[in-house]
Amino acid sequence: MEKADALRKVQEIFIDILDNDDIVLTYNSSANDVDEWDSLNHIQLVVAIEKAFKIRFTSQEIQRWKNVGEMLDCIIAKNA
Amino acid sequence: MLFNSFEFIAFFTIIALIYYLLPKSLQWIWLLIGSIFFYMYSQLALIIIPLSIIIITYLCGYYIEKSAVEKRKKYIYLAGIIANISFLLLLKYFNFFSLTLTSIFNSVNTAFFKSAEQTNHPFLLNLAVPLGISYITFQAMGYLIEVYRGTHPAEKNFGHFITYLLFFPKIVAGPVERAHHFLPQIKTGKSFDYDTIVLGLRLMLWGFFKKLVIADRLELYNSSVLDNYSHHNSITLAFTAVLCAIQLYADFSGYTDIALGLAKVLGFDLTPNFNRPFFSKSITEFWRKWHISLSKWFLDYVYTGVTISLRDWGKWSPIFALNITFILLGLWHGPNWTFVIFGMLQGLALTLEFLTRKSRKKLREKLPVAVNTLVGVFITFGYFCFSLIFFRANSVKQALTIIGKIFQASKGSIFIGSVSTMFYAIIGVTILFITEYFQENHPKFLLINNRHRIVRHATYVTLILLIILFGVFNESQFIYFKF
Amino acid sequence: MKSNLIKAVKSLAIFILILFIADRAIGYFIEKLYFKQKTGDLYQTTYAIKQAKQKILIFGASRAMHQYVPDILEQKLHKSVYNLGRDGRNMIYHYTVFSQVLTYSHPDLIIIDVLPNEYSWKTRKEGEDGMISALLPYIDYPEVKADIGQIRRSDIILSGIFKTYAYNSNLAQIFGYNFGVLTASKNKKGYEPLYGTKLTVADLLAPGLINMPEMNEEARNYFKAFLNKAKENNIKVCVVVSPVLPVIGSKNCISDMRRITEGYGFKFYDFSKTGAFADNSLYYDQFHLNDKGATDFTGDLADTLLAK
Repeated sequence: MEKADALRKVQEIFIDILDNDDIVLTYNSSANDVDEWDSLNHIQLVVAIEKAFKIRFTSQEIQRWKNVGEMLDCIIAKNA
Repeated sequence: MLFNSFEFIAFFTIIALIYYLLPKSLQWIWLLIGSIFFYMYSQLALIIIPLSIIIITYLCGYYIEKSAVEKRKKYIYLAGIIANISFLLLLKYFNFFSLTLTSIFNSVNTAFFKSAEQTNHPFLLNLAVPLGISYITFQAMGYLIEVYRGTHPAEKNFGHFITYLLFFPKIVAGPVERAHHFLPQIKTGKSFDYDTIVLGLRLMLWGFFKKLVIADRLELYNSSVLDNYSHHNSITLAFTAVLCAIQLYADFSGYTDIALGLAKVLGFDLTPNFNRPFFSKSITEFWRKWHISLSKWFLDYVYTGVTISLRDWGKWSPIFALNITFILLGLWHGPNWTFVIFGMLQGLALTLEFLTRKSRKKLREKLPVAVNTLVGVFITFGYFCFSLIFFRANSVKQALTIIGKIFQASKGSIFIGSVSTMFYAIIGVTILFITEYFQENHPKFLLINNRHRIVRHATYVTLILLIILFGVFNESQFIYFKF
Repeated sequence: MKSNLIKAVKSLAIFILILFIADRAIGYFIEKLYFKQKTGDLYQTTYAIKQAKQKILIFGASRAMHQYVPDILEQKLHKSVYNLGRDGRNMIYHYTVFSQVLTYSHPDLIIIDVLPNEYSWKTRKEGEDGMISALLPYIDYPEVKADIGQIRRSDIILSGIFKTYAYNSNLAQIFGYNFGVLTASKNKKGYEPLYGTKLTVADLLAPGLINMPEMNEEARNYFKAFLNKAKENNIKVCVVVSPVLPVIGSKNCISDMRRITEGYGFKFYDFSKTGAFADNSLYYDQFHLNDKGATDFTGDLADTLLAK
């Protein structure tokens, strides 16, 4: 799977869960850049991504991401 | 040694002067000596406790990193965490748990076995709580978690590590400093920089203003009401609850500004703890702006872990995690049910806000911004004041009595007490409010940081004279020193 | 580094200069207003420090100020009388004021009003703070300076550096009395009458408000020192416990004070258990007689003094 495709898919999940059509994600996006993306919503995003990609992250993986790009790398590695 | 005492001013002047005369490679040693002296000046022998915590944490961190076997890493890590928690529980919470368990045991005994005469007496320990124990153990545990996760390397230099945890500007009441933020700063020498030092002194001046002019003045009124709370009517008690919130903020943010200022004079950056919390439009926002270093600690090391491991619970996962986190955050303040309830009230508000966030968003879109802001700020502030009744009260019973009296709406006018106390308090609070209002809404309008020297100097002089004329010089402790 | 230091020194010098000028200017202005006052608490001290030349002087806290009527004593004893009582001050303050009075006058008789729990009222820091904050504006008087210096050197230094420091927490009163925002009740030779009553039922039920949880040697020593000073100067003293509502607790130091007083050969009068003052309508609040009560009490006291 291409990283760009994954980004598009993740962005749709964000728009859906956070209920905001204006969200545009880049590889460098982090919680600081998206208003509604806070610690409360974060876990719901993770769960939705896990479902959409049919994967399961470990706690350590989730806690190490610093931005969307790192998360995508992790998704791609799991799907490969 | 309190920051608002003459001894401390003398101590700090000597520390800072010699610090900049020393070669850069020796500066940290001087800070370490100063920090140990500072600690032993108030609690001579008890320094053995923070030192033991530091040695254990240092060794655990070192061996977590060194060992290659994952399982071993985990055991060492858990040993370090358990050691820290045990120190904290034993020294600060032992009597609380002992009392609670005994009373549960006794009531079970009475209820089921009807042996009311044979009540068990709790086993109590009479221990002195070492200075800053809650802050030291929390920083130590945060460090271990980071090392275990591999997000921060274990510190090799033991001297640097002690300095990190004993650094005197932050030892008694924080901020809860992260290893990755603080440790690198010890490793670089600091040269005398006029602008940085002035920046630090400014912060200290503002901190002293908040402490001496506002917090200690309000304390005179608040304690005069709360010492006789049963004699006061509802409006007075409600007013006092509001003043208690302002007092706590002025006291703790005043302390933090002084701590940050002291560190800055020595060339160190500490984590800010407050970001004008009383302008928050929700409790969720409030906790991002109040005691930030502690709430961030709980967010990163408690909340996140719990939500991740329970993420299959759907939306119950963050709710459960929030409530657990805030009960623990409440209990962190001390061994009393009042703090547990204070934490539960925060958890409750955050849960409600989490569940209604979509409907509140829709409602907000229909209302003008000014109305949103005002209503949000008003409700948030009011709720926080309410929850602080538990924070301030000595017992749950006392808090409930006060709340009961507030909502009984008893008649009578507000109790003013000493007119001049009220007058000075109003001056202080007004200055604080105006300053923060401008910082919040017109960040370009500056007084203390103005680029014109005249305005800056005029501001310093005004603040100093206000402190001299209106400050309360009774060397009272900072509220957060006891946590 | 070098230019940095020069900049620092220059800026610091300017700052200290501005601070010094501002402090002196404001300080002198406040000082002027302070000594212009002719009523109120602060004036009570100014009078005591400078011009209390009457033959009979009354010392004590608010229970002196509101309960001893000089006019009545003058009528019956035919001597000039002034009431130097000041709210919220204990023996540490009275001692210094008395020493200062002795530098310019030699009264015949001193009446000291003591609380039943005098030794534990405003103890240590609280009493010292009260004394220092009341007397710092008079630091130029050697007796005052010496006594404050003995209690807290740092305050002498601070008030030397900052002219404004002596007026800490007094500005509201100074401005209030000078610009007519505050009006003190009529001051009759130091006596400030209280009218009517604001006692409530709850006040009357409150048990043991005047109690003595702890014994403070410092307060006791100042009490002794006061009497000693009077003895040395051949001035007669009578120590009085004025009437109290039945809110007095079981612990008090009346008998100890009586022993000390009589040890110096002075008279000790205890009105705390006098039945004539058990009437609630004579009290303004839990701790103070109103004007009617004060008049009765001062009359009784004068008669007692005449009888002996």
